[in-house]
Amino acid sequence: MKRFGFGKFLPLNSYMHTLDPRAKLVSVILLVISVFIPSSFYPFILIASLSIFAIFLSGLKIGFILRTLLKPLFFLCAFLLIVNAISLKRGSVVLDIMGFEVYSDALSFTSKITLRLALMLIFTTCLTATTKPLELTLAIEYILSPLSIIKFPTSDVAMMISIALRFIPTLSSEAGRIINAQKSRGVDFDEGNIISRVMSMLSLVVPLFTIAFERAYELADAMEARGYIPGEKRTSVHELAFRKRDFFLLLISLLVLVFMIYTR
Amino acid sequence: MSFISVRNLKFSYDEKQQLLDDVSFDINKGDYVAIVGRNGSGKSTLAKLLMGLESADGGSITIDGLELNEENIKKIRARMGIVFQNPDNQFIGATVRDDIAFGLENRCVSHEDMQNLVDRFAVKVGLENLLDKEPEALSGGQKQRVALAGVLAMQSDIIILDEATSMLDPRGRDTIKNLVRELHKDKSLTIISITHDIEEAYKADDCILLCDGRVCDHNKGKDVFKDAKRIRAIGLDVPFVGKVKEAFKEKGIFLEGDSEEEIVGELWQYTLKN
Amino acid sequence: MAIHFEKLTYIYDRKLPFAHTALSNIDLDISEGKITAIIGETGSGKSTLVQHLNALLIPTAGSVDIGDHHVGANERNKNLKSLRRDVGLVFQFPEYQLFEETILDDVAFGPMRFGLDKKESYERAREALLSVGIDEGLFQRNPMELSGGQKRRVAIAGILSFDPKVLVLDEPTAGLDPEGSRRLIDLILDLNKNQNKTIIIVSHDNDMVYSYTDDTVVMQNGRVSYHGDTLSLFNDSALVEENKLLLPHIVHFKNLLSSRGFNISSSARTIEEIANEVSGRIKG
Repeated sequence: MKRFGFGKFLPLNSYMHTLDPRAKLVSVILLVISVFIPSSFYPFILIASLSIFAIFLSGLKIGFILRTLLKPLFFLCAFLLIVNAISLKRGSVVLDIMGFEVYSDALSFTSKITLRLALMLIFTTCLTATTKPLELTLAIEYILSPLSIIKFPTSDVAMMISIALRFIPTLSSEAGRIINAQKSRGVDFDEGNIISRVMSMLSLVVPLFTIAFERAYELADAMEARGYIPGEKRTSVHELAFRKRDFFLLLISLLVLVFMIYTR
Repeated sequence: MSFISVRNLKFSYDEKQQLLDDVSFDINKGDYVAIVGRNGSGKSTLAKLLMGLESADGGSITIDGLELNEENIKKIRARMGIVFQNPDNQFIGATVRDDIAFGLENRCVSHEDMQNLVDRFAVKVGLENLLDKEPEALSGGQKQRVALAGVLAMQSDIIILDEATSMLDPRGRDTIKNLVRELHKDKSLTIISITHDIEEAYKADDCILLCDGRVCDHNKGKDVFKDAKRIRAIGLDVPFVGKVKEAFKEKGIFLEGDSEEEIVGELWQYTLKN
Repeated sequence: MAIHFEKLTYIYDRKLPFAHTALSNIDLDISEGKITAIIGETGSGKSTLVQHLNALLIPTAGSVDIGDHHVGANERNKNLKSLRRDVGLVFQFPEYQLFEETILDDVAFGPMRFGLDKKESYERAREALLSVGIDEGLFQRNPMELSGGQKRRVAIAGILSFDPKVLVLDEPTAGLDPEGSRRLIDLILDLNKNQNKTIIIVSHDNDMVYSYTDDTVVMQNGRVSYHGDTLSLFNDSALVEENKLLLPHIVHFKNLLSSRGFNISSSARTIEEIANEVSGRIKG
C-alpha cells in the first residue's frame, strides 16, 4: 500500500537529501511567502525556473510532478476560470462565447493563482520528498525553540510528534489485523445501511483505542524508567550541522523574497 | 545488609483486593533470580515497585544501601534498567539507534559519547547492522534486544526482565535467554527475571515464588517446584521433570532426580534390580 | 468440509518493486474432521496460507476449495460471506476484537452479521458463552472488566456462535495460564470429537502439537515441506532435523529413554502413557 504521492519521503540520493532540514524548512517557508506576494507576471519566471531547478536537485522527475501534483490542480484551475469569468469583468474582452464575454483580467487572475499554487506544491513536495519525517520534526523543534521563552513546551511537543510518527506504521498494521478479525466474523465494511456501517466502524475504532490507551500507559512507564522527565533538558543523538550549502540555500531564498518585495 | 532488600511490601490497586500483602526478600549482588507466580499474583507490579514506577502502600525497598524514595529515586534509577513484556510498547525511538540512545539523551550524555555507547552496545547484542532500521522492520526478538542494549548503554548493573520473552516466538525467546545468560556470566550484573517460563524458573539457582500476596518460597528452583501438588494448587504449571515424577509415583516408582537425564538413569537402575 | 489447495501462490505487493512471494505453488489436502497443525518459522507462510481459508486473501495464482466453496485467482469469487460463516478464523490474541458494551452483545454480533435474526443470535450467543465456561452472571458485563483468559474465551465464543464447520486457531494458548490453556484445549478437543468440526491450529508450541493433533503441515519458505501424521513426523529424528523443528519435550524424553534401552512405542503421546510402558517393563 505504498504509493508515492504528495507528501511522501522518497529514499533517493539527491543533493537536496544532503541539506540540513532546518535550512530546507526555512527556505521553503521563505519561498512560499515570496510566491504569494502580489506582483506582475515576469518575476514569476524567476521563481518558476528556480522550482524546476529544485525538482532536479531533489531527484524528482518533471513527469512525476506533472502527473501527481498538477492533475488535481488542473480541475481547480478550470473551476476557478469559470468562477472568475463570471465575476471579473475588467480589462479587455478576450473571448466571446455566444454573447458571454470573457475578460482578460479573469484569465490573468486565474492563471496567477494557479501558478502560485503549483509553485507552492512543488516547493513543499521537494521538501517532503527529501526530508524524513523525523528530520522535519527536529527542524520544527529547532525553529520553535525560541518559544520556550514564553514557556511553550517545544521539546515536549516535538517528542509527542516523533512518538506519533513512530507509531503510525504500527497502528496501521494493527488496524489491518483488527479489520481481518472483524471480517472473519461477518463484518463487511463496504456494505449496509448507516447503522450497520457505524457498527462496522466501531468494531475497528474501539479496539484501536483500547490498544492505543494500553500502549500509552506502557510507553509512559518505559519512558519514565529510562529517565525521561517532560520539560527537562536533553541532548540528541542526531546532530544537525549547518554547512556552506545550507547557508547558500537560505541566502538564495532570502534574495528571492527580497526581489519579489522589491518588484511588487 | 544485602544488595537489594525488600521488607514487608504492601500494595493494592483498589480496596477490594490486596495484591501484595507482606513481601520480603533479599537479593545478593551478581545473582540471577527468577520470580514466578500465577497471572494476577502481582509479579509485574513488583517489578514496577522495584523501579519506582509505582509507590508501595507500605514496607520498604533498599537498593545498595539507598532507600527507594523520592529523594533517591534518580540515583537508584541510574543503576537499574527494565525490559518490559511488549516489544512495541517500549520502543520509543524512530530507529534502533534512536531507541538505544533514548535513555542517554535523557541523561544529557554528549553527542560523541552517545555515538560510542550506542555502537558498543549494539554490537554486544548483535544488532550493529540494524542501527538504522525502523521498528516495523524488526522481529519481536530483535526489538527486545534493542531494549536490552538501551538498558546496558545506561551502565545499569541491575536489570529487571518483566516477562520479557512471553510475547516472542521460540526462536526469539531462545535468543534473549542466551543473550541474558551470556551477559550474566561474569556476575557483574544482577538480574531479576520475572517469568512465566516454568522450565526457566525450575533451572534457576535462585527462585522466588509469589502467592497470596507474599513470598511463599525462596529457594533453588528445583526445591521450589518439588511439591507438585502445591504448585498446581497455586495455579502454576508443574515443570516437565515434576510431571514425570508424578506419573511414575502413580505407578509406585519413586524418582529423586532433578533433571531428565538423572531420571532416566534412575529408571535404568531399576531395571538392573529386577 | 474437506480443504483442497491447488497450486496456490500468493505474492504480496505484486505490482511494487519489493514484491514478496509468500506462498509458492502449494498443493495440499487437509482432511475433514481431523485436528491439523500448521507449523513453521515466523515468515514461512503459515498466516498467509490460513487467511486463504476464509478468503481474507485471494490467491495470486491457483485456488482453494473448502467444501463446496471455491476461491480462485482471477475469478469472480462471489458469496464470500457464506464461506466466512463456514470457516471461523480465530486470530492470535483475539480478545482485541471485543468492542461491544456487553459480552453477550459482542458474541451475538457475529451471527447477526451473518444474517441470523436477533432472537436466534442471542440464543446462540448464550450457548456459545456457556460452552466456553463463561457463566450467565457475566453476560451483561463489559468485556474490559474481565481477565485476559476470560476475554480470550469470550472472543472464541464470538466465533463459535455462528457455528462454523471449520475452526482455524492461530496460537490459541499464547499468553494463557496453565488452567486457561487446559480448558481451551479441552474445548477444542470437544469441538472436534463431539461436534465433528475440522480444526486447524497454527502454533509454535510443538509440545501441544505433538500431544493433541492428528496431522501436521510444516511450512518452510512458502512451501509445504511435510504433510502427514503428527507422530510420524516428530518420532523421526531425520524428519525433525530436515524440517528444522524444535523437539517436543516428550519426544526428547522418549529419545533419552531409548538411549538406555527403553523402547517406547511411537504412539505414546503423554507422560502417563510413557510411565505406563516403562513401569510395565520394570515390573516385568
